[in-house]
Amino acid sequence: MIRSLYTATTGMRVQQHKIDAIGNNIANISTTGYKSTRPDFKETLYDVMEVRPAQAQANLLVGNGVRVGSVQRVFTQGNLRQTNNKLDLALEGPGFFAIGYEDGQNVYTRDGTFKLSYMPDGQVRLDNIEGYPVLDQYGQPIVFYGDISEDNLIINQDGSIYLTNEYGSFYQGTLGIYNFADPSSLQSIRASYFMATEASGEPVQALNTRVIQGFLEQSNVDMAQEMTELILAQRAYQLNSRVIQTADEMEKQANSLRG
Amino acid sequence: MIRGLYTAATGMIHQRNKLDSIANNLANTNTRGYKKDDVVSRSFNDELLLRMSKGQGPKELGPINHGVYAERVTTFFQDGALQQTGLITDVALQGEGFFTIIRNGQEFYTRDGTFKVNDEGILVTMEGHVVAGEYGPIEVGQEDFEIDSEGYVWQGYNLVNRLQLVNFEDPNALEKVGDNLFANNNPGANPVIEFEGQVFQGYAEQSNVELVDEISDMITVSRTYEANLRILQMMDNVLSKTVNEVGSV
Repeated sequence: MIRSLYTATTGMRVQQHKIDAIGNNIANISTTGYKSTRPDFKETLYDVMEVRPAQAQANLLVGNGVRVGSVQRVFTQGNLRQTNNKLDLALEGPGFFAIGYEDGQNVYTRDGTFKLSYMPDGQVRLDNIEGYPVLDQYGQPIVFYGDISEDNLIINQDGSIYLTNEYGSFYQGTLGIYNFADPSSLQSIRASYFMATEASGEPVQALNTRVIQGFLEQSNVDMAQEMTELILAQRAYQLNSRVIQTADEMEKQANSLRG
Repeated sequence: MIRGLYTAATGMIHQRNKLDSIANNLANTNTRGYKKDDVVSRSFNDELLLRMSKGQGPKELGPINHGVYAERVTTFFQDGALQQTGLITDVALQGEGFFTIIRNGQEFYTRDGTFKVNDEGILVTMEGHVVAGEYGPIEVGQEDFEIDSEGYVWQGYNLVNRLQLVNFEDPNALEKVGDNLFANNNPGANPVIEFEGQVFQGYAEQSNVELVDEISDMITVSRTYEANLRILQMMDNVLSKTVNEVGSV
């Protein structure tokens, strides 16, 4: 009896975890560049069922429930939304923009909401919306000199940045687009920002990825799918709680055997 | 009289074992590739009941058995429903058979085809165990790949490898070891046979637990348990009468 109680508890716990993940996905449905997560469940260990008469035990195994094996981040492409803002950039294909944080730590994101920051020394720097520099293909901040506004910046699909004015078009640098051997092992630090880990591998230049100017990548959360999963998770949660009730009821009956 | 007490008790213990198994099925309703278990019951061996009476030999009254026990746990290997995920690293099987996984140098078998590509470009499970191919680990690197219905892994027109898909003469002799894995502890008696099913890339096989079946089984278990309990109480009452009332003035 005790085993059923604990088994059902593990079932409720993983469903709770799943509902949490769904909740987080839905909360981020309009977060630019957000990638949905999905928990992956694994059976826990199997024990030999206690049965008399004792017999060959190979076929008498009973499981102890379920656990969360891993939480997988799903890096499928999100839809692109046109914004007509020159410094809204979307990525098509695998890869990430690199952002340089204060302590020399690079973070990676598919959120291409960028802006120009006017530095005290007269330089103009390409920053993300929080004011941290966007890095180029050599890992350096992208700075412009002189008279510049976002209206005369052209960013090509390969990430190269050109400044156009009445004298012509001038190359300014190339955005760094990085990818990882195993993006699913990246550590998420905030909704759509990631850090490299040992398991993800070192950042390398991404191949086959295009930069689209004037667009933002929406989250890849699919509302219909999340709602379906939510219903399933909730039902599974309910059923597991029914098991606890049943086990409790049976225990109670046994307890009141001598009324 | 005492015999009946024990018989009812075996019924209660057995229903409890069944509930444990149902609880595990229900806990795994959302576990990819999970296969449902069912406890098969068996009666204790029949014994011949004899009546001894004075002057005559023993008279046969007929067979009786002393209750029930779990004989074995059968795993149902029916296919689970396929859920489309669109991820190239999600692979599902239809038809009897398994993926082969190498964990600590040993082969295990699974229906859970939730894979990923690790930092060395090798196809592994979510826990990092290598997915076996017929020509060693499946190296796909950073490029996309296609897996056809027979398990061949392609990159464009290049054949990379083939998933090592296996089936067994008696899948029920496999042992569940947790983590959605099965082990074949007796390869001699349970040889590998050809996999004849199909492979679907971009799909995940759901658990094959049917909620309605489990719930109705659970109700049956709880009522059967109750019935056995009533018998036990009845036996107790009869004993009580025998002990306390027979022979009282």
